Amino acid sequence: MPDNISVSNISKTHKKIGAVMVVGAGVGGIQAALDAAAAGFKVYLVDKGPAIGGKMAQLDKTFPTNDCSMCILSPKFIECAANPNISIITNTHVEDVKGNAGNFQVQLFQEPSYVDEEKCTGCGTCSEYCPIFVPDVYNESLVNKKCIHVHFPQAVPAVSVVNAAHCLFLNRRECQICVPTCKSKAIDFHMQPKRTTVKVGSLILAPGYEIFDPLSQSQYGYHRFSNIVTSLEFERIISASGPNGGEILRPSDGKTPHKIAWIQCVGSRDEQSHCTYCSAVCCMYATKQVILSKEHHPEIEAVVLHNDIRAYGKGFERFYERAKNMAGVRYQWAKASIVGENKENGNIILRYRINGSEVKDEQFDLVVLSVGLSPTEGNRELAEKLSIGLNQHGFCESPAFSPMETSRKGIFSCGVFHAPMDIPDTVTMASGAASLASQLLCDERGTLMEEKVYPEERDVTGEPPRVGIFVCDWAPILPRQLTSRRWWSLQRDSLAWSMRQKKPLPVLLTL
Amino acid sequence: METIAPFKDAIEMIRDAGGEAFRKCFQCGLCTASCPWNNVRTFMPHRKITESKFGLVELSEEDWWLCSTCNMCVSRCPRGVEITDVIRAVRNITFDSVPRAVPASLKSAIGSLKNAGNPWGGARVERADWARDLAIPPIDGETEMLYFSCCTPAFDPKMGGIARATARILKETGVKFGILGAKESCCGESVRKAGNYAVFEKLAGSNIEAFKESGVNDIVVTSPHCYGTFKNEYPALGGEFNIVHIVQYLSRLVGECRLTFSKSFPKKIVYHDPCYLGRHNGIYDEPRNVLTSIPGLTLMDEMNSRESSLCCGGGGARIWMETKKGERFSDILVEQAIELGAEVLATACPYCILNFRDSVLTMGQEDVLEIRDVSEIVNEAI
Repeated sequence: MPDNISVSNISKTHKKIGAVMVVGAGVGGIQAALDAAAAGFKVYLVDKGPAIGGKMAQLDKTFPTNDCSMCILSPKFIECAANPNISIITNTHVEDVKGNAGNFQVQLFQEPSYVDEEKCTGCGTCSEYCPIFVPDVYNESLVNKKCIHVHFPQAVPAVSVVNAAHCLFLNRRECQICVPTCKSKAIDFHMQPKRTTVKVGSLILAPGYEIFDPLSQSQYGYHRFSNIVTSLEFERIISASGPNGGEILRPSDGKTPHKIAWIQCVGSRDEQSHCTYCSAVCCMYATKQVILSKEHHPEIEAVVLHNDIRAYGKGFERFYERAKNMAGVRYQWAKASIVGENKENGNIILRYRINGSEVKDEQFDLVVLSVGLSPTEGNRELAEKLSIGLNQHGFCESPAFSPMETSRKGIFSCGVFHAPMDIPDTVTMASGAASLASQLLCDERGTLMEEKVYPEERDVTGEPPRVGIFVCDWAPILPRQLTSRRWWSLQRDSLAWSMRQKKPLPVLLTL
Repeated sequence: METIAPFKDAIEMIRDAGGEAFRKCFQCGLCTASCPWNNVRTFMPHRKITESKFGLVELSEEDWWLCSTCNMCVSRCPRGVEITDVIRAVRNITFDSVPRAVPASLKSAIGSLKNAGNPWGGARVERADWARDLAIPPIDGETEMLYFSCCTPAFDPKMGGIARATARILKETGVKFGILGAKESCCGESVRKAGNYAVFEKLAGSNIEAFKESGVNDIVVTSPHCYGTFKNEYPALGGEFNIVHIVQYLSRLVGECRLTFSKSFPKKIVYHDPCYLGRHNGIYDEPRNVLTSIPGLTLMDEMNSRESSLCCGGGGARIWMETKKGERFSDILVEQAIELGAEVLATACPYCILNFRDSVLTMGQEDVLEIRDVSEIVNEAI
């Protein structure tokens, strides 16, 4: 900390820039952006994907409370989008960062999405006419979606994007069916990649992780046997917004699995995959998935094959005990080998030892690989370009007593880029990083803030009320009036806008 | 429940014999879950490691001789424990401390190695008899490479075809190669895995001397076991040579379009990855490259293949030991090949060929499944 103060003193002659760039818009980046903006700085929230949200947006529930992930995350999407001092820049990655703490020039490269963000309303009409299907990356390629699509229902920005690799027009100059279907004329196949330079005073790196790819270790039989899925695929399977609408159905025959095994430490604490660290969250997310599976189908038998159970955080041990004590749940201390597949029913045969006395074969309808959190190739490149040091595991190197600092002054880090961690630890670190950025730029607080300008107020006294009713069918229970047709007809005169939407909306009800 | 104290002397002996890897083990049991023995009976490598850790090893136990050193456990161990090294170390101690516990069939193979430089009881002078009609020159400074056939094709009359096929291929492709005949001995790989370091060092020492005397630089081998020991163990004893397995050589020739096939081999083939070619030394693609370049040949989808390949049961000196019917891994593999509808089970290791041919015979499937070495298939098609 003395270092930061001395830097700020030296740089009094060079004016610092009261802006912060947050690289990566997962929950860490979002939190850092909100905190930095609240502290009085202009924020550029950059993400390489088409929407903000990161991995947390793909989760169904979060441990140890089993809160709905999207329910706690999407209001933050709206906060970011509504904040005039946060600029969300998607489909963009950082190419270079020149300068010093307080004065950075960041070169950004934005891939074209071929849809004008200003014009697109996210109505989805273009998707209905598009003839091409592409793997749905948000749903871990368990299903396909149209080549032009909104990344997921609650995506912010709520705009369509074109998958350039599969688009018929971009690759073969054929089609373009989508263009005339857009009432807002938002589709623009002439869009070019954009390179811009943005001046900021500090950067917060929150580029996250990717899950360990079990294809790299043939012992897991991933993609060889259909009823072996990753934990993230399972998360999409149990999610109400997932490929099966929340029904737990297994890949081979679409039947409900009644006996599920979780194999822990896949790509963690493992010399063979060169990931010798613990990924911190797998014991807990597997426990969460066990509890959720039992909520879907109480008769499910769940076996967690583990080495240790690491339930170190607040509420974790209680969560683990809760799962362990459920009927039909077994935590088995053993690492299992995937022997093969029962050709008659697609069941997976696992083999494991019971202490020092027995070797047991057991069949499961479905096997979930609890995959670890790995540094990405993109992050390694980013770190190299920015001269950010990485440790021997590929995570961000930092001083022991100041974990949010990186090897470059003025650039801070948070979240899994620093080390595998859960959501509470990520947002804690994100707030911390924003605080350090604020300290560095304290003299420039407020200098680049945009004031919120409200439209002129108009006195509507005496006018008939213009009522807008927005009903989200996501809610399982609707107030009785809203299902009554008589009630709807009574509102007809003052009804200015009504919308009944089958997809989940971040805004539940506005009256 | 009894309290047993660790036997420190035994722990040190195991460590000195090359088994210090037991320190790293955290008892997860993945080795036991992966060991092919658990397909046919119960065998718990993780238990053997714990016993080693505490020096509480029962040297007279038969189980110490079960391991075929296939490396399935080592290749999956999350701690990188060299489990087969620990087993080898305990076998080594057994030779010195409890020699009666060494399997009898192993003892006779070792006797033959000491006397005649091969484990099969053949006379040393007959080592090059397989090449009798082939007019292969003895290796000298002129010849490019040494062909080291392995004791099995040399001394087993039914296996000599593999060496002859290989020699013919090398001749046809214009390679100047030679053989050493009686001057060479068994590579010693299996006797070292059996734990008898003394006999291994004697064999290796004698081979290294013979190779150097004859100006050998490059050696092409038929057996992945010879490949493994020449490449990984001989350098430490002063023998550094360029080692190539015949499938690597053939794959290179295919890539350079120097191997032309005038005939077809119109059969459905399933290829088995030998442990010492695949898992131990990472050679998976080369044999497949060679087979798929042969006209008419259909290479079928594979059974447990590559890193997950099931051992035939021949490694770790088990090729010299009796395996009970119902416990033979090669039986399982032959059955799998037949179920797949293969006409030929192809592989690139003499121990695998021996075991598969034996299985086919005892299972009465000679009319159903042929067992061929890759070199034999290539020889029939060029």
